[in-house]
Amino acid sequence: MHDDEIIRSILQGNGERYDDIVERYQTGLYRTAYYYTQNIEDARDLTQEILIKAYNYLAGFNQVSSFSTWLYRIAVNHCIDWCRKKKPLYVEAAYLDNLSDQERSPEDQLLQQELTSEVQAAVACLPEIYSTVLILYYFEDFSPQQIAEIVDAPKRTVETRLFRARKMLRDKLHSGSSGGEGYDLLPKPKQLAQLR
Amino acid sequence: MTCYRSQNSWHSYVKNSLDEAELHEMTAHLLLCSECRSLVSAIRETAGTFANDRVILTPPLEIKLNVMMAIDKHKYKKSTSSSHLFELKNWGLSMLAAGLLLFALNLTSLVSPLASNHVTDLNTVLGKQMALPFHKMSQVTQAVLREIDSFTTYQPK
Repeated sequence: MHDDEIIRSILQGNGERYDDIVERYQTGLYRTAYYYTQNIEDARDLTQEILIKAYNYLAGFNQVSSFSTWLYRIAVNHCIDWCRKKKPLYVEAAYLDNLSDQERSPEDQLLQQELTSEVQAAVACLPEIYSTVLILYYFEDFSPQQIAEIVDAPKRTVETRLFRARKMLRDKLHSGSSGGEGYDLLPKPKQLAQLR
Repeated sequence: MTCYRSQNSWHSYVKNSLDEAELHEMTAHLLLCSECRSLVSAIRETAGTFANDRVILTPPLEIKLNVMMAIDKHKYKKSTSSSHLFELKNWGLSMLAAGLLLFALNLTSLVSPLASNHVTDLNTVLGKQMALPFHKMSQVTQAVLREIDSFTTYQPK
């Protein structure tokens, strides 16, 4: 059933249908919240708050944009508010469900996990306007037009931010791998080299 | 399309979200410009890398449970009493509109006296026209009251 039909049903009094919306969007929202918070418990709390807030504001959904962009606008604003109010006390590496990859050796899997964690941490450290477009474009697979609707900015601005964000992320990751205290002598996976 | 203009659409091009005209322009430009082609290629590789390395997180079961417990499932149910009041209000407005229409129809008979400049008769005619519907209404009301009286004073054998 399409989102609009479910929303219409909910607004006609069938509140229990919101169960379908939660089922459909909780994974993406949870992942997005995790990229902002870098903490599983905070991501869980934020996801719940976002879904509850969306339900309470459902009458304000005018169906001009898609429900997903409307929902993610709430999600992004809520996550940014969280970032401004509190910085994470610690960064918790997520238990990754994709660890059991039979094609990779355990060492490669560990390196892959390290790289993924590095990328996530680097993304979370960027200014919000850049981390937001990165998360939505590369991790949540939104188009620049959709991102423009979510963050309420022109598409050209989103394209510019994506370009700059990618460059900032590359510089951050490269500076982390090229020296300083705690320099890791183990070779990084080839994926890091692709951020040229 | 120039490089300056094309940079506003690189990421859209990678996501295949350009419209037909923009896609055609961008494709034509990339065929000729190696620098832009290289940048678009780098964006595509990054997108592929991040897609492959996307964190697969399974949301905990309590998210759904907690959300469904927290929301008011009756929030958007229209209340019965408010809908009845709405209907009564509509009825009242309909009756008022009918009364005004009746009044307006009775006033049309004043057109001929006005046209023939019999202004002195206007007040008398107007008074009669205004009294007519009220007289009829009072006749109906009295008939209804008589009926009600007959029911209340009815005594079975």
